[in-house]
Amino acid sequence: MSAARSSRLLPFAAATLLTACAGFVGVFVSNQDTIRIPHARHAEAEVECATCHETIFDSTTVDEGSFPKEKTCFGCHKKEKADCAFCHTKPDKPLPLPARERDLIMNHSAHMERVKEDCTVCHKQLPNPFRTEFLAPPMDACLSCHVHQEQYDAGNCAACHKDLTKYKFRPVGDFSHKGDWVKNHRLDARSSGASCATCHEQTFCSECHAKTVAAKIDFILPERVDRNFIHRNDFVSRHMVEARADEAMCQRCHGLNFCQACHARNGLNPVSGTTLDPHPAGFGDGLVHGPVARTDIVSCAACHDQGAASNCVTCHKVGGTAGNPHPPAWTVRHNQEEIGRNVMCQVCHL
Amino acid sequence: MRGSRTVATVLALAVGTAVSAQAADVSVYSNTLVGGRPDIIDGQVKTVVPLYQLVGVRAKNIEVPGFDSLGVAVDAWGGLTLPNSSQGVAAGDVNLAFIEGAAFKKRLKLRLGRQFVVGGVARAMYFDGLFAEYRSNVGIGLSAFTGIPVDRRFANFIQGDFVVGTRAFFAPSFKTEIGASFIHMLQRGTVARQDAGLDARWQPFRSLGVGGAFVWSIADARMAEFDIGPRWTPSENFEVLLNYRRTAPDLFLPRNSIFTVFADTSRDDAGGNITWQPTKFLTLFADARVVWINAQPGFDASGRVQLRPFRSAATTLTAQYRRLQVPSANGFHQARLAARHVLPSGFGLSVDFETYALDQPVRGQTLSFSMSATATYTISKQWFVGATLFAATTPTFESRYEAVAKLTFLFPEGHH
Repeated sequence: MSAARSSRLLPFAAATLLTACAGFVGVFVSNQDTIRIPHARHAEAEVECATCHETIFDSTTVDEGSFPKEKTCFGCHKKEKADCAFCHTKPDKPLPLPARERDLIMNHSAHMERVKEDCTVCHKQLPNPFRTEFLAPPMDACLSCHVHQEQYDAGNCAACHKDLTKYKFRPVGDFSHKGDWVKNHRLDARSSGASCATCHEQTFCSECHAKTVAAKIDFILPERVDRNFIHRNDFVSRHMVEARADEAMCQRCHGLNFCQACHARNGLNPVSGTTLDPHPAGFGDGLVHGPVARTDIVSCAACHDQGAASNCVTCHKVGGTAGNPHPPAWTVRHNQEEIGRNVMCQVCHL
Repeated sequence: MRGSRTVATVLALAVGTAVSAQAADVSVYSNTLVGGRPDIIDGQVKTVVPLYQLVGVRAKNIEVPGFDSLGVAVDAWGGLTLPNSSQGVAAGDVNLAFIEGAAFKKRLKLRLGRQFVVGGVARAMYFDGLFAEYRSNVGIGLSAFTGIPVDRRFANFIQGDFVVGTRAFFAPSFKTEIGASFIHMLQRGTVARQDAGLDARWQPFRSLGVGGAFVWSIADARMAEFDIGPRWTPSENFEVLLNYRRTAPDLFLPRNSIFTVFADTSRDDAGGNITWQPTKFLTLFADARVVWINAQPGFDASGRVQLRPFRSAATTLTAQYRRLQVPSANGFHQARLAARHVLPSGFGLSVDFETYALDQPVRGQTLSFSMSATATYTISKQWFVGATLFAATTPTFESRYEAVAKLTFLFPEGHH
């Protein structure tokens, strides 16, 4: 990327950093106070759930919440009204009950009649005394009534799950991530990209697929020696073998000038005048380089595609010193009329 | 630079939306990396110090009238290499910057900005532009995208200056999807790519599935790619995957390159791999495939053993071997040993040793040795630091030493 482009993007990079900093600040100032909610004591006292959670009958989304207001607590706990420490762990800096991230679509109002107002059908455990992240009803509670297989078969996760991307689970059956997933995932992704997106954000894809990344993934995640990164360790010395084995794979991510720029920088071309010319002796002979070009044109293009006039066509053009460069059956696929439409044809066919 | 205005606009919209709307789910990722490595500058090997800052911000489920959900994503980086490098002092780019929304019970999805489109002949198309998809309640859907392909880094090479594509699909379940797609890419008015294709995935049984894709180059009236692979997973700890693929590498060159007139080569490979987990703490993997390049055979075979010796995810040992032999070219034997151990205190250590022997010497050398050691410490649920030392002696570098230190922040914990 050019310095000019960098300078144009600088304000936006700064804006992004500021946004990130705002996030950091938010993290450090939140969740100072916690409120005790001893559900067990309330249950012993035979307090009905709805006595405190009175809005649950009308609650259609979990986002609304049904937590009692402070005045609801004081309806019974009149004596403790002046004793902030009765509920707040930090009474000198009391805070309201922090909002919790909600990932599910769930209509309590619709469920109350079905469970005959017995909340314990789903809520087997309740916070006691502190609210934790792990006491929401498990998925098994849902599946004891709902026939999950139907939703699963229909790919309809979004009926209940707002967002599955936060979970780290890997599928073990469909879309199994076993073996060399780096090499094998293309077939699933090509026909089921939407299914991939159920769990993976585009940021995950961009770590490898974005052609604008800062550095190789194994540079950014050096500790992940358990992963099978393609360019790990000394890839440079063996890249010509890997590229020959799967030219299309390199071409998908790396532009042709990627090769040329690096070879020129390191003196690995004839023009540099060094002894590091990658071509064997006598390569200029058409009988030597012709068959190579026929079978491995991508490697040729990697360095020599600097515009049509700068390479092979100087000899191979109509009336040039070399012969017809087209592969067999070329004229079957490309008729004479194409010459007028395709500027590449016009380089030689004037 | 082409495309930067589009990205700038989307960035401004993204930040504006995030500030003005109530975001239900925000995640932040920051990674600061500083290293030291040798670089060739003006023919001399000099030590350079690259500094990278990577930042990602994602806000999802933003409540906006008219949408079921709205989200924004920005993933960008900036870098300095001091005192200089062969690739310049300053660099930076935006990997992703988009706004996306869903409406009509999430049947309609829209995404604007720098993004990927995955599926069909688009493969993993990376572009600045607009993507839209509508999926009916019976699984029939249509997606379309248009915009400007994103340039690759380290190159003045321009992949194209306009792209449009579409895919019609029928996806009645997770187990079945069939799609037909088309892509058309132009560079200065000349066709750079014009492909049509079919793709499918079918899972008749829970243990057996097959996926495949076929790509036809309209511009060259030839098959560009055919890929098919059945997968058999009889149990959670055993899987067999077979695959046959034919590609025409020259059809991966832009059609507006003069080199497209020189060849019509094809490359075939067929093989498969087996994964077996005899216990939860041991994974065995073997892969073997035959490669035909213009009817000349070569092969690529590898095996990997991954062990968690203390019956815990805290320690991982990996040993792998690979043999690659390419017809009319070079080949190598490659061996690698790697280990990672994380202590309950949060300290972690990773070591990696790799060697390979080339069949034909490169610069008079056939052997390559490289090793790295990484120490990490998890400061808190969100903060993570690490340092790596890398040393190698290879056909390309008589000796090479590199160091990297990094500081990572993830919010919420582990979310990226």
